[in-house]
Amino acid sequence: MEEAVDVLIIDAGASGAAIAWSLAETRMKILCLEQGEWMDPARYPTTRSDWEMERFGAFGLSPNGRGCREDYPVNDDDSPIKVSNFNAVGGSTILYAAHFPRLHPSDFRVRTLDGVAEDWPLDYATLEPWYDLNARMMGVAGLAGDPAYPPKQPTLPPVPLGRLGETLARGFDRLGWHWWPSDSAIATREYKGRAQCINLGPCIMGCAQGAKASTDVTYWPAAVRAGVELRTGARVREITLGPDGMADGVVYFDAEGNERRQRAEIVVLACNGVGTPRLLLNSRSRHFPDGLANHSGLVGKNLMFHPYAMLTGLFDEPLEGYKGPTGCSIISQEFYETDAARGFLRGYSFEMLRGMGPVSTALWGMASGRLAPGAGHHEAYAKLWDRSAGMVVICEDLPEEHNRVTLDPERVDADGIPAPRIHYRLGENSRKMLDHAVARGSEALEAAGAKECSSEAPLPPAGWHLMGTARMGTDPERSVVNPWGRCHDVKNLFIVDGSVFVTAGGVNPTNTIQALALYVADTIKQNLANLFD
Amino acid sequence: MSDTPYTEQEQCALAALLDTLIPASEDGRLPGAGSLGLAKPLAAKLPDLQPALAGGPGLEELSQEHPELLPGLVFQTYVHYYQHPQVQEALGLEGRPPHPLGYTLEDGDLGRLQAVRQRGRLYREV
Repeated sequence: MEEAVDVLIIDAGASGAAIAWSLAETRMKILCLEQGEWMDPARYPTTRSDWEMERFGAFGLSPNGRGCREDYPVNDDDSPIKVSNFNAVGGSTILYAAHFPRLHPSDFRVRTLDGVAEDWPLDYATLEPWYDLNARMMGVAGLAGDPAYPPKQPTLPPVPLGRLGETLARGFDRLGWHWWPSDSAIATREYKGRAQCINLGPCIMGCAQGAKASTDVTYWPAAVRAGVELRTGARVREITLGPDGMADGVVYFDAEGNERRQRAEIVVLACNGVGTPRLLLNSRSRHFPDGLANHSGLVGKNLMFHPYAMLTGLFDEPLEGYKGPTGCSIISQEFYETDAARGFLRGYSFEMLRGMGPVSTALWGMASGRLAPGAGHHEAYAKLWDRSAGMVVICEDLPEEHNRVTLDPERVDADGIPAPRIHYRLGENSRKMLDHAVARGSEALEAAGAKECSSEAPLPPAGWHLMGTARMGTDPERSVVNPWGRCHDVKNLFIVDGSVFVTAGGVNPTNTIQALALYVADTIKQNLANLFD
Repeated sequence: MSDTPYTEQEQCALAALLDTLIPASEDGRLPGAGSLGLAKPLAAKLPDLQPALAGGPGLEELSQEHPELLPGLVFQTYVHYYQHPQVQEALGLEGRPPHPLGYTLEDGDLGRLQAVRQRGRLYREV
């Protein structure tokens, strides 16, 4: 038995880092257990000539593909969208593209405005100061004045558009559609000890420059300096309950596979929208035979991805697309807010990607039938190399209870802990939205000068936004946590990751996840005297 | 040549195959894949290839007798060809990994956003 701590945080990703840092000022004894290890940016792929192939290896998006000890398998056979994540200090921020948009005010009032899903029990104005604080901690590049949002002030100048971004922006201009430089968690100038971005390209394989705001280089150094203990190689098997029905700690496996026990006064789950329900469902007891904090029966249910479409345009002129942050040039939210005349409710964002490196160009050419070996190879390659521009669509997914996370009856991780299983069907609304987005996206690429467009929808590996599986609300029958992340059923158990999302919005969720974690931390600090009432 | 597991004869056969898959460009700017010393990395990735090289098969013969080898051979040839510094330099790159030098990128003309601003608020008031 190890010494009890005041606060035990499970997982050191986007939200675990934020809440750890925020709570550190209380001088409570705080411990974070992380199943992965610290990353070494000096060994990230862009430091090597074979960097493009690492997406098939240790820096791949799928935990099933990587198969590292710190990963856990995910049975996503029953889903057209496959789960992507990363397990390390920093979590999936190690591999994210650092797109950092906020939700819109309307995203918190979906039931009221559009008659579907549920309203959030809080609103944009409540989260606004926490978005602002998160922007200062992570360092957000962007440009003020975006008419798609209430006023907000980025902390750093925007990521350069580059030739590719300018080309695509012209397409949106010709159509009279909204576009704006993306909010990006990237240090476009030196920021809080982080070096300036030097446009390496593949942010999604880790940033060797340290310019991208993964939490191992933002929140964690500050949290550790403030006294938080971060224990790596520690995988939690279950959260245990005391005789009073409160969480009293966890059982976990250390890096050598030894089973250990850690007691705590407060337990905080920050394991993402799949990892958190997995752990709750693995924590069964006499009080909670269907999983911890699951009297509502909603733990694991209402799983939302963002159904993505990928569009690729081929242009006649070179675009310098191999330079610059992968995903962060411009965003368009022309079709974000509901217009029922489109045949679906809610909406989506377009986000521009950069182009491809030389190897990826060849492999994409091969896979798409555009590049054969033999005579004519070089002529065909010349039409592809540095001529492609990517654009993704992020559709708002609606919560549906049949989309859910359960436990797999057979698969286990390296410590023998049952793996999660995904059951997911693309909803009718999402399908119609994807169809609309692919048509409008192709129009935008053509207006920008693309001679040829191709698309894939839904994009199978795009299960990187995991939301809704322990949602917040005021009604314990219809939600798992209260409006400040405390489980209705277990009053010293908090959840701060994407599980608590009520709806998904049509933007990348990391900024909102962290703003929520900071808001929950603040509420805990404000209510320490009567936290469990 | 001696640090590959292939005999000299097998290396010649492989080089001929690779030159068929990716020949030198007509203007000589891009090399043929057979001239880049790819035998060692390909041997590591394609252990079943070596026995199939006996007798120096051409591409057609290889695809008839060992059709299962061809997709992997094409894939690995593309990978190792296009990450070779000599090829990257011919494509206008610097033949180096992105880090630590990185790249410069134009900021772009943000003045054109005036038109976007003028179209007015896009988000819904709640």
